Amino acid sequence: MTSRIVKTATRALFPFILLFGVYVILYGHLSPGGGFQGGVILAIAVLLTVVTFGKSRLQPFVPHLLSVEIVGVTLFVLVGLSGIVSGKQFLTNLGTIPLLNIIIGIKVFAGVVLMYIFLVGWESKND
Amino acid sequence: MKIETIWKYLVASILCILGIIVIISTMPTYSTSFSSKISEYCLDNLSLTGAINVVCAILLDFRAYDTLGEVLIIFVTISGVTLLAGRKR
Repeated sequence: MTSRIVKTATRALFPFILLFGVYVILYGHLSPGGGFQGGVILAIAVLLTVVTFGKSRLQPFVPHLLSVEIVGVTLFVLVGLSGIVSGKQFLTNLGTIPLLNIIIGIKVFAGVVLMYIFLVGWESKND
Repeated sequence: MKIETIWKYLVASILCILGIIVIISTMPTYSTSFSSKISEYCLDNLSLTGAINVVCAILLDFRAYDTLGEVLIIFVTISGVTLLAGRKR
């Protein structure tokens, strides 16, 4: 059981952490940051609520997160293939750096959240 | 204190010291620099990528295959964790 302080702090911090993560992803090509870092920050915002309020509310979204993960990998490869379509090499940069950042950010977010949820569920089963 | 625990701490401290030595000896200020042509190329042709952030330009333009590998690593990790721990019960 978490204390009231933790709950209140989580409620207060959650939107700001989300906002910071989105900023880090969207401005990855202009300022320090990028897809991986922003994705992990987004995941931390969600995992903070999981730690505080339990994972029951997040459980219905787990299949959707899995599909987000798969779609992310596919989109990354498709963006790479667009280089071939335009007559250049695989993963040629056609001004697609922000797009790749967004794809990687969403994918890493889904991946980190899924890893945490599955590993925690696995641990609690063994207790 | 048991002999086993003493051995454990001894081995752990030796490994830590070895790791610190490796880390410090490969720091850029102490070690001999590797081939600097590649990094100079990346810095000089930064305007080709359209990104100001050097790290992002290298990750997503010069070393895009590397990033593809990282993405696949996360994907495979998720697949393995889902297979092992995500079983319905």
